Amino acid sequence: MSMRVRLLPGAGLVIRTGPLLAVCADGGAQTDALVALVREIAAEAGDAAGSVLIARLAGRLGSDGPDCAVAALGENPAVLVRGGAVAVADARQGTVELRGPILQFRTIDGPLSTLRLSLPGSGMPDPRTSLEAGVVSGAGLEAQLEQPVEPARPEAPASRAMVPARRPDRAVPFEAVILLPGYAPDPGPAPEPPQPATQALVEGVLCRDDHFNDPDQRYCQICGISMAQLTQVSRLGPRPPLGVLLLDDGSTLRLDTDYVVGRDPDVDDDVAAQRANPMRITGPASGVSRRHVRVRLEGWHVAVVDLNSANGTLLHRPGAARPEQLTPGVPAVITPGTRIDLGPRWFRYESHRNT
Amino acid sequence: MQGIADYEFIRPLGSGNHGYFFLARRPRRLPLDVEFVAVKVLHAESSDVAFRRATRELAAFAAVRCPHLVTPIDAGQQDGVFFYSMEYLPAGSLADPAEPYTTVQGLRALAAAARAAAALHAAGIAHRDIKPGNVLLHPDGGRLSDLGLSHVFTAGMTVTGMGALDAIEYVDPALLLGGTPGPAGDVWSLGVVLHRVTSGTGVYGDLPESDGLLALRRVLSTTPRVSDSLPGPVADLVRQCLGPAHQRPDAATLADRIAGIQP
Repeated sequence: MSMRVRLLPGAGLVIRTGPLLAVCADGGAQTDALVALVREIAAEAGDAAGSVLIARLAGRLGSDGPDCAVAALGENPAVLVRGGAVAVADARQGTVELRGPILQFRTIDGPLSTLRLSLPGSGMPDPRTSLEAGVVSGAGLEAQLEQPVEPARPEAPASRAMVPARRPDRAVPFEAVILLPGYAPDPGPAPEPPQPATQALVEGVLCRDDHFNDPDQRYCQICGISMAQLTQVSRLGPRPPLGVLLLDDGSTLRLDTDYVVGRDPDVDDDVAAQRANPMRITGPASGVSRRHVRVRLEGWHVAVVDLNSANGTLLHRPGAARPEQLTPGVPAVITPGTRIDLGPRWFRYESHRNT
Repeated sequence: MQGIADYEFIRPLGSGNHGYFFLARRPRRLPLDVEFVAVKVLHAESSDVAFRRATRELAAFAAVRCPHLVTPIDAGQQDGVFFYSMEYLPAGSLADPAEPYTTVQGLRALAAAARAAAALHAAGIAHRDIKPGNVLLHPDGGRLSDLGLSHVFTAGMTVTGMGALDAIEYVDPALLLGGTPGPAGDVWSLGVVLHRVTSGTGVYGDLPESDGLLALRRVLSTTPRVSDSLPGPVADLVRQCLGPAHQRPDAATLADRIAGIQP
């Protein structure tokens, strides 16, 4: 199953290398850097799925820079866009359209039947053209599977979710419990409350509207009110969540307790004892250790500790020019916007606090 | 996806916060007299512990007798993938109706969903995921579908990866900030759905559709705003649902007041 690639005329560059297809607006040195990055990722692709290649690219591209759209073909195709570029893919689940302006990427339930990557102002696809490999001028591309797959069923509602549920091996025996009246099992005792095992107490102050805050903050972190005129009497109280962890697949986890991050975090003693929640990295995870890194809440601050992972952990602090390698066992306090890399995968700390 | 266990899928019905819905033919194993059922397949990797917790929560849900709750049929796992099935309602949901519905029909469905929520609350269960996609239309009014289960598979998870991100607009921000899910959070969600059904808009303006983080930031940083287009009594009711948790009406009161709305 090969893709035939036609060009859309206009200003910009079109790249085809290995499993990657890309278009990028003219932007001088930043365009050159993107072409080099796309080539590098394609050269090191091995037999990695498209979704992994796009995740690697997304991890190294900033939100700023010339408009671009990139697609990775193969087992799990994926697309990425930034700025004014648009990606439209037809696959089993119907048509998927991705637009900027911020950096976005999605996995698609493949295979793709058609794919269109375009920059603003691109023309109609030129049927006489065909790009096998290389870098040429153009404002977009249209790729078509030589042997088209069955089109999406028209009655299916367009789905916005892009990651398909994993297909089970239907040869494996299944277990099932009938829930109908008369068949349903006794639900048993009420499930344990989903509370963090220990709710830590921290010292804090109340704003005028009774929001509990870090005494070092000058403005309330909930309502933004100034805390300057208040009499600062600190007291102990339950620590509010310090923000969220956002994993590269879009999952959001509440930071109200420590997390152990890895391929198999349940092997951690503190997870077993419910002193920390597991954050399991599913899907492509080569280079991620079973227990890789711990996110630790220390008072009002968030720190990360590398748990002697095999391949190490990198921190990208907001505004820092270069990533920083964690020393195993030594906690590093992080601020919102920090990205933590574990091999090919990453997560970010996001919060309205600690800014 | 062609099917799971002994379910053969006919077509997808859409996606939720943490899984996909499919229309399936009823396997002969199931002792009920319908041709079709709806099957939900979850994203999260199932484990024996999670499977037991999830079936226990679903069994508790199934044990609540209320004509306005969707009937769960079956729950299971195959090859590490968790699924459950429930009755199929061809009229669709408030988010994805088979045919356009009137405001009167939408309000009837929502009043039924609020009654169903009240029945769950009386049994000590919080729904956690009330949104237009889980309020189903039915000729006799409506049904409340599904149960938020993402926390069963991953402790601390509030939003799962890549799902329909519109759900965030219906979640009580106190939960996003770490509060405990409970009846008051469900009432908040019902209030936002009421706003959507009567005004056609959300309470945070247009949220960025494809960026979960941006949507989350917007929800956490914006004070919900009730549309000026709502009639006074409806606007008051929505405001009460979005008020301080201890001052919100309970779900049964809310159901009566929604049923009394004359659009």
